[in-house]
Amino acid sequence: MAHGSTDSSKTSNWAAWSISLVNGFWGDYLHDHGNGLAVEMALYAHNRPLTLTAERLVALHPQPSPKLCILVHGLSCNEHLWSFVPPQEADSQPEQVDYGTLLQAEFGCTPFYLRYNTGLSVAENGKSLAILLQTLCDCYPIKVEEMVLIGHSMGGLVLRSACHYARQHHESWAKRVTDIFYLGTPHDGADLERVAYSAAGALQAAPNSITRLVGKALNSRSRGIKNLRYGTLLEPDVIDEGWDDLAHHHHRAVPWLPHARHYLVGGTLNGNPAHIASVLFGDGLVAVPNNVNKAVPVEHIRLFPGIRHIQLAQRWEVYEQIAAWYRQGESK
Amino acid sequence: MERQTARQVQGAVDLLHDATTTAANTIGAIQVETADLTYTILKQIPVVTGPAAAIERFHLSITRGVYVSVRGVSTVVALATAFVLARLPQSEQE
Repeated sequence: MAHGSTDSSKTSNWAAWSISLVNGFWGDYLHDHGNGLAVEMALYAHNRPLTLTAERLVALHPQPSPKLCILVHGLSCNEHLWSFVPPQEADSQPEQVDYGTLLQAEFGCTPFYLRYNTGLSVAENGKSLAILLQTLCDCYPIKVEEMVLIGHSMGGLVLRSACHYARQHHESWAKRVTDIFYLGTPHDGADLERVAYSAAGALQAAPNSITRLVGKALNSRSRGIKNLRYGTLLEPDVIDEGWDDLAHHHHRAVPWLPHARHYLVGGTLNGNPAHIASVLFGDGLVAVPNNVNKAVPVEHIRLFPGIRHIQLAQRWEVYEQIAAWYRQGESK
Repeated sequence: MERQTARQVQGAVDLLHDATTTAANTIGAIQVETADLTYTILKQIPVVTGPAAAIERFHLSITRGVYVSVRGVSTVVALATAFVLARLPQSEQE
């Protein structure tokens, strides 16, 4: 996705980032109150939502490929997250790329970038994404044969949720998914949200009105953020074990898309993964993937020491790993 | 102005209005609750019972007036923005 560097595009990117940030923290409130700042889920191109018609898709991608790549950002972000300047020779002009454009250049995957309201619950976004991807496949000018999904942070949870709802509703796009890359995705929950949950509870229980006010303000964080406590993928009404077992529910209830190859990428704060900061804080926001349920083969997990949470979406070495895995998968 | 931009500007003003109203209500309630403790103690002291009750009434009326004004200004700004935006020529994007 090419991003211009004119003043107007910089202003518009700045506005998009501000709106995405507000949506991350209070997006559910904005959505529930019909506020104009609430982001509607859509595939975006050039800072605009893409109307899903064959004509518009051909106008955007004059040579559509049967292989699609869908990039899904994380909490409080938008599709601009993916842009970065790759390492280059000293005399060449700096040019912005992203994992989508790189996969397009190397493997012919046509990239699409999602923007969505990250303050809504993962399940709400998962359901909407399932419908959106089916619409994309239906409108796409040629038959879609393969889909590659890349999710950063919460985006990975939304992808898993979308795959679950697509299978539940027999939507055909899920059958075309071959590879899913999860970059810094809190499959087992994020410690920072667990701290926020405990702090909000303690502050609200304190016998002081000002302390309770601070607790109330902290507790006003969005459903999306609260879902990150355990990496919850489904609506509570389908949780048959009850709230007490919420922590482990999603492992049983949402299997990983069976026919697809899954890849976990993690980072650490420190260059040494054994360093106390790396062990305690992972990439700064999400702990190192532990693969407790052996859902993903060990060779499909890669840790990048010294690469922090946001950087996982913007690093050349991460792309090289994605490309290597994709190449390996294609050859099988 | 694009319709989407106008919706976002109105949304930002609405959000600010909601935040101001909620903050004014909450902080106002806390201020009254905090002051109530002081006045309750003062009113137990025979010599100052009368003046304390009068000061409390004066204090409460000023406090309520301030927060009503804050909510009022916020509402006026939100309504004025909606009025102006509704009259600006708007275009669809794409």
